[in-house]
Amino acid sequence: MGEIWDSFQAAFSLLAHPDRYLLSTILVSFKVSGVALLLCFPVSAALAAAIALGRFPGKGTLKLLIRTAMGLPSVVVGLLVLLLLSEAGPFKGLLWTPRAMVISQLVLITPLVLGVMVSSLEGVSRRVAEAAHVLGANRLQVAWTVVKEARAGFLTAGVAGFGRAIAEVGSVLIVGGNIAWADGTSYTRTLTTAIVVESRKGNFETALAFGIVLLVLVLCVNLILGFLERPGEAR
Amino acid sequence: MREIIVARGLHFRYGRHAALRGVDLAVRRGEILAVVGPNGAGKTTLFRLLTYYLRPQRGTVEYFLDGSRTPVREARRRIAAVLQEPALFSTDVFGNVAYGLLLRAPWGERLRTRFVRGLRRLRIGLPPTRIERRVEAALETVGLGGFPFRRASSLSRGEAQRVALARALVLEPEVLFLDEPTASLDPESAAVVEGVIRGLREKGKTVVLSTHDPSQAQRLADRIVRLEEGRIVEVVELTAPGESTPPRPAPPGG
Amino acid sequence: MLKRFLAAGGILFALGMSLAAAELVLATTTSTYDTGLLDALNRAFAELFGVKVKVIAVGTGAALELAKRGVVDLVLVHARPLEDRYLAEGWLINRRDVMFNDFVVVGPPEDPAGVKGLTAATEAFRRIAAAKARFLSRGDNSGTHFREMEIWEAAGIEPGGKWYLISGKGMGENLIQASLMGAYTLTDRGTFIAMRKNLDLEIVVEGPVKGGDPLLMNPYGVMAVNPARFPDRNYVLAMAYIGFLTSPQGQRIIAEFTVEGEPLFYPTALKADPDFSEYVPRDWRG
Repeated sequence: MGEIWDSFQAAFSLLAHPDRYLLSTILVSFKVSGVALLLCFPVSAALAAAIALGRFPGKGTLKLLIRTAMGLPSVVVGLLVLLLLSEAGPFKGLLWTPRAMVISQLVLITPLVLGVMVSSLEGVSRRVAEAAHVLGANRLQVAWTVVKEARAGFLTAGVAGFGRAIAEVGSVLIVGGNIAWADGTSYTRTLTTAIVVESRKGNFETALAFGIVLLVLVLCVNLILGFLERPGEAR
Repeated sequence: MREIIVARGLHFRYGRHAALRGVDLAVRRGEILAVVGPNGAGKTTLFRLLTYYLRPQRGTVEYFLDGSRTPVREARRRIAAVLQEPALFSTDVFGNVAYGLLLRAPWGERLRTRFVRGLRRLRIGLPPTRIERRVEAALETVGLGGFPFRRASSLSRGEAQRVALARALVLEPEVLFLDEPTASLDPESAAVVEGVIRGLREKGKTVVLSTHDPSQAQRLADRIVRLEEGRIVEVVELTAPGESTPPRPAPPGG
Repeated sequence: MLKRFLAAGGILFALGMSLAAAELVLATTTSTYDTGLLDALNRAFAELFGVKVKVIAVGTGAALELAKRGVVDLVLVHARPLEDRYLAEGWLINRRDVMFNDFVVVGPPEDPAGVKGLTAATEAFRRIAAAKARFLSRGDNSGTHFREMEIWEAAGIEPGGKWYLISGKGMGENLIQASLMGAYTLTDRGTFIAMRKNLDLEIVVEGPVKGGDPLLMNPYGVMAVNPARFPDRNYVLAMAYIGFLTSPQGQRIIAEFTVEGEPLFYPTALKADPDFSEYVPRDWRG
């Protein structure tokens, strides 16, 4: 038991004096997941509105596909993107860069974000759409009004997507290559992939330090999520 | 031309359930038309077709607001409806009542109104915009003047219903559809609403309302249409609201 | 209109891509990378050539497969039979010896199979199998794993049974698991030295560096990806890197790289009288 506590203490002291390695890794994690979310959000919002409000055959199948894609393991996504990028001529240069990581995280989180958005849109009463309609709104305006009614759910979708992205390791490991430059600055190394390589090397205190940072981040994400779901109580 | 809405041969089914089975109806300019009937008779469906919210599987709905046929888009701009237990938007009272006006306003006015509104919320007083004045007037009409910042979610049932009514009235529609307008109202509010309806008729507007309450229909309407199981079974012509004449059975579609 | 927009975007994108062309991607094994040697080499390379090297550390099998797909510029691995195969198939070219270290067989201090001090790894493996003493294999197509399989084959044994376990992990994690389980395992000396203080294991069969079994020799080779097959890879820079690795400067960096005072690798590239076996597959008929 004492050994575990020693390890934690060592990890905390590493965190007290963050070096370039830790800071650049945190930056890469945030950049990649942040950009992925930024790109995913508007596209998913538009798609979600089209799906939830549209009337077309096969809607149930589409929703099933989205739910299935939500559960795709990150490693599988990484492999798919790796294979894709290694074939497609002009895009070959994307491999081993943060951009490839953004792409794979986009693929990973879009089903989740989309699914939550569709759900929250469907949770908006149909009567809202009808009310908007009978006051003269056209299809686009009705869609926008319904989306505004679902804004809490959309926020939840975004936060959930970010949480999934920042904590995943499988896909960014494969398409990014977990690269750090020789001077210790991270290039495609995220918090999660840093844990992989440091624990592989046996640097358990360092791995633990990274793990603590990640835990704190995920905790914050969940706190925000909880606040969003019950806006009244938090006050 | 006396008839401003002409509906012919309306058939509508939700999935397997046939809600309307052949309805012919004409709405006359300036009248108050009451649609009565038991639950499930098809009143709401009829309204949804007349407001172009749904498209009938068979039949047509046409508007003649200026004598000749009015295109659908224009007709929709000149009518409004208040649904049964209407859904308010999760914003404040102003946001709800101004909704239709903002839709119809040019983008410059929209921006200006929102801006002024935002400032007013910060207690910076500015002269009221055109939209704000109309909203205030509509709220006064339904007896809710003075609380435009209240959240829609904090309103009582009766207040919400009146806000929904104001939301439609403010658009000054030529035809107003009201689905069970006083259903969840206390007697005072109900009286206010009925007064509003009569006021509309005096201004020459057309009102189509549905109600459960046969005495309300008798009180307000020029004509009563009775719907049962998706068909019109009776049309009653009342010479003037309030005056009761023995019902004259007439063939459906009068 | 949309098409024109997409086309413009595509051209700008490709332009951006080509401006970022001067980079080198090296695939190597996790055990090699984890020692830190490559960081030392690449710092010097960056000073010489002004190029930052991207190192992708994966398993040996994966590194070679990446080369076969043309997504890296060169590889540094330690699995001669596999290297020969990729050379013969033409995916990789211009092989050079770079350095060697050795493997050692390690096991629990109690030595249940009684193999401590044996000079032949094959004999040790035979005794371990006979005693059904726990043995932990990497099982991941790594260089270490390949050598382990060669030793079993040379000993005439097909390992299997409850005593033969597969971790599927990297070298460091494999050692930790072996230590916890009290199992024998094959490891490269470098990783063992680096992690020794966290382990409850001892060397039971020495490698050739300390005069032990030559079968435990672990040579490292570097090869460039064939530009005829993947013309968009940075062949010139790859050859510059190979030149650097096999130059007196690079070889000195390798010789001077120590952990806890002990060198991890022994440079082998500089030969006054070269033997040509390093350039071609060992079974080449020429």
